[in-house]
Amino acid sequence: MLKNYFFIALRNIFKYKIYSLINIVGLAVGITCTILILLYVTDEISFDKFHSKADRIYRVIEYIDPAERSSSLPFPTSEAMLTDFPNYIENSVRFFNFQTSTLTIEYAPENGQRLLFNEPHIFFADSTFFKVFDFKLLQGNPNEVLNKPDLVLVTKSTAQKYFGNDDPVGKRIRFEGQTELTVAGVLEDTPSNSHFKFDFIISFATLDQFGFTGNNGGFNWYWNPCWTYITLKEGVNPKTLQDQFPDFVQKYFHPAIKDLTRLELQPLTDIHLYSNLDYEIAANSDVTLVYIFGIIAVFILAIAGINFINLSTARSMKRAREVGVRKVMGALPQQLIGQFLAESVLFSLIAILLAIPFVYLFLPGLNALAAKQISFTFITSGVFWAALFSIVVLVGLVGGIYPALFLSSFQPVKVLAGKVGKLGSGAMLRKLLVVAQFAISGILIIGTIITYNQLNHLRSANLGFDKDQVLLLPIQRTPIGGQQYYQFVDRMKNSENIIQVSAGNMVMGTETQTASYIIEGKDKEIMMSTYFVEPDFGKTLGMEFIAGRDFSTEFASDTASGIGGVIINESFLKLAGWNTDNALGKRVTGTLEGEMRVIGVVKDFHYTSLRQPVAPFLFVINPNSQARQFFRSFAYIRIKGNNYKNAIANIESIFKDYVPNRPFEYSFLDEKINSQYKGEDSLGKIATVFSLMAIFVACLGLFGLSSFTAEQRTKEIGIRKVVGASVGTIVMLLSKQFLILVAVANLIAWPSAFYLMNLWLSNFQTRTSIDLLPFITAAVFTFVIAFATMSFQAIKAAQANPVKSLKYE
Amino acid sequence: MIRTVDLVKVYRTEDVETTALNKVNIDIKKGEFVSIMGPSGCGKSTLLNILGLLDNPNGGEFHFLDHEVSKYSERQRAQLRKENIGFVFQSFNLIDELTVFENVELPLLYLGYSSSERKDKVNAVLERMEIMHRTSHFPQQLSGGQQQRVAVARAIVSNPKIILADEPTGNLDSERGDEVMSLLTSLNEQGTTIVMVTHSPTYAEYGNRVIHLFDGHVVTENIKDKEKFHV
Repeated sequence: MLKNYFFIALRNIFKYKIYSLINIVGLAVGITCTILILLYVTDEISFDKFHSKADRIYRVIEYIDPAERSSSLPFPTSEAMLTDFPNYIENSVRFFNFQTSTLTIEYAPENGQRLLFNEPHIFFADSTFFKVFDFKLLQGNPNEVLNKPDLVLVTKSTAQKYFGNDDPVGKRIRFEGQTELTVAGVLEDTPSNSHFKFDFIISFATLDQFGFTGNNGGFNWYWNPCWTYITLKEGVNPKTLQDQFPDFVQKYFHPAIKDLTRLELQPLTDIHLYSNLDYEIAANSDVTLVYIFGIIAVFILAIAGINFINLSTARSMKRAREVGVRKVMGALPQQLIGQFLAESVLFSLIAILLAIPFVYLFLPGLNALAAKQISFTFITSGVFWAALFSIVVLVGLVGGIYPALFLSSFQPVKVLAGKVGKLGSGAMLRKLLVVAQFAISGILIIGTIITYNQLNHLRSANLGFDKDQVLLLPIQRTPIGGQQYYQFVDRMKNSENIIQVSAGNMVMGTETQTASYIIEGKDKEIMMSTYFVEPDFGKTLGMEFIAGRDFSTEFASDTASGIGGVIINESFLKLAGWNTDNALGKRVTGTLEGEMRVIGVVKDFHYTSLRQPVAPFLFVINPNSQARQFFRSFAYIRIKGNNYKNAIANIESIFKDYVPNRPFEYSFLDEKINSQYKGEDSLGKIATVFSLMAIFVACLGLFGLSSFTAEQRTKEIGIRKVVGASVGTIVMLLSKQFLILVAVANLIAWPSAFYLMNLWLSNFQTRTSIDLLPFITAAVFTFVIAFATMSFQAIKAAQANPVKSLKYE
Repeated sequence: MIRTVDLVKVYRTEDVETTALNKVNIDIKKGEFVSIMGPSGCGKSTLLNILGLLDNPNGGEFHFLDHEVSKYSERQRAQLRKENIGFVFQSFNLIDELTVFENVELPLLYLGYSSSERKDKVNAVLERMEIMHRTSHFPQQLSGGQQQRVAVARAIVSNPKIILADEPTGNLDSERGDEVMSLLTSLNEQGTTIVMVTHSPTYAEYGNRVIHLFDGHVVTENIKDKEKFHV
């Protein structure tokens, strides 16, 4: 019986080649997109799950109301928690990286090439690193490699980069030009699905010599630079531990913030998709993207499935006689349903066989678009094949069930009497399904366009400062960041092509830190966003002052210790209840900085990404010159746009005079700011590709359906031509019914897309306005492409010789 | 074997009601060869469809092999049908995508025969129909006469008790038509009951009884060999 089914299915596939091709290619494209998206989604949700204790590992995070949502904690928290909660916590590990983007590593073997790199993935970690996480140590004893100062672990590819094929263990490298570290072991490269990546892990004890792990001038329960992960003991409910945190905070935290601070446990496996805190250890993804791509996958598969349903039912009269004969021979309806379902599963099986090479072909593209490293090795995974098998069966059954029911319901008496030409039923359903396909396509087109509009809007939005032509030069822990800063600034200002120079501890427009302040007239500390800056910061960034002035070296008091100056933004002004006339000279007292006076007010500007609202903010020159050195992370250098190559060459030569032992590296502020929207960027690109795929598959179906209609109406066309209809009127006649469907589809797509895109845009504080253009574009696009698809068949039918078409029946 | 009492079949469309069969009484005994004649639209095909258990009557009784089947469900009719009835159609109704062998094999598939039994039976019947040399051909590769021989082969492969033939010669030239008729005659001689609808008075005469239908009524019955069947 199965053999009979199989052969008849196969012969039908070969007999109606166009139809089969449309179905199979459509399904193959749909399944390819689905597999690609599934691979993406699987990768996204697999983050950090490879640790054997993943379900018990939590990151402790700190909220300081109202301004700070920190992913990192004060230095002593880890130890205090282990001491205070021995029944709950099994282990904990801290990570620290000076809060800088890169640190310098030098390798100078006695006889060999000296290597010097700025390394972006260096962390100091506690010796419990291997007790909490499952990162693999390829060489060395996990109990010993991090338990002394000046030890470092390198990953395999980092070892390759510095030491070639030599044994890395025992090699000595120099950290930040001053500390000799000994390689104690080799780590496997960070898995691509870890929420942070490391190339070097330095023993935490090394930090003692930098003075960070001590008392930090009384601020060690205030400053919070350590990402802290804990493993709960088995069976511990995180909630019961978290309930004890308020007392813990009261017991230890700095008086200025302990009433504002709240600690929480964040599951390790939630970090990649759900966490968007301040000072994240690395940029995370967003679960919204997972949902959006998941929906797109379902959409495309639905469109391909609809093709299958439509073409099968449309073609049903070709199979009607077979159904009739089989029924006469005694076939029961369920046997026929089984036969047709088996056939649709066969279709989807062939489509999958085609989809696998497609996936192989397009995977590098997906990896490039989504910045992933998914390898084709998934092909050997049992889960993949199980998923694939489920897709085959699902698509085959869902796509096949309606045609199967439809076909098996034929009355043999009718179909054998040739009464199948008037099969009206199913026509309405086909129309509805075509509408669904084009509505989905319309939504995807509109969504894609609005995504791009939003992306452009984010990139070109007025941030309240001029982000262009500003070069960022990392100077932290260099002589420039230290004693020689002002000397460096003078030389820079005298250099050609350089307009203005300043420095700050944050990358403007992308990040912020917070500290606590008391505003004159109010008695409580308030957490607010702060940048520690140097003179001329406002000028360098082209900020607009609505009162007072920028920090300047011309006012000695700005940089002297004692009572310092502070520049506030408009929101601060409102919070304090001042106005531009009375704000200057008002007192602001910082927990870190002591007493300060307002010297200027700037218009509100976006100090972090456009996803975040603008809140009260202040620029401070730290009165403690020792601390100030630490906070000079970046020199901000505004250069002349027309000759930036010379400007950069000048900067490099001056930089080299001060810092000969560090590679010259720089970035541009606008690029840093734009790179915050990488997620939206890849969303836009991926959505474009998949929208085009969706439309392609929908058009394949329309092509098949219109060829079927043309065929079905051959006789009518012949009669019309005999009585004088022109080719044009016949093409219109045939196209009209589908164009109406496309119009209805657009009517459905418009409000749906409007609703969905508004939902998405509500993620942003700043959003593009939704105008008519994307909707009109979608309408025009679907009409043109649908008409082009159909007119091919319509013209062919219209040009046929009526004599032939009249003989047809 | 087949007996109807006041059989009624009415077709309804939205605003027209057509009575296709109006109180038809017929009685067909085992081993008979009955021809049904009448003009277009007289209800011949409707009667044959009901006799073939493809359709249910609206009224009256229908006894098929001692079963009163007029109220049978499709499933019950399908069971009786596949075990007892072979069909031959004017337009052959072979499945284009199946080979000669596979077409003939079809009834056996639904009767659940094993692969080797099917092979034996199909080969035997194809040999008898003298189309063994065409077993792996597709229907379109055959002449009309050959196609009808395949259709007859399919109708008899499961050894049905009765064969229903709906204008089996309608699409054939006279030479091929004669061939098919002599095939049916020889089947009847071997004991198979045959009911045949035809337009052709000549071919109707092959039967030992001719039933004339007009506007849904049985108008006359010509009975030959009366004594043979003790009517």
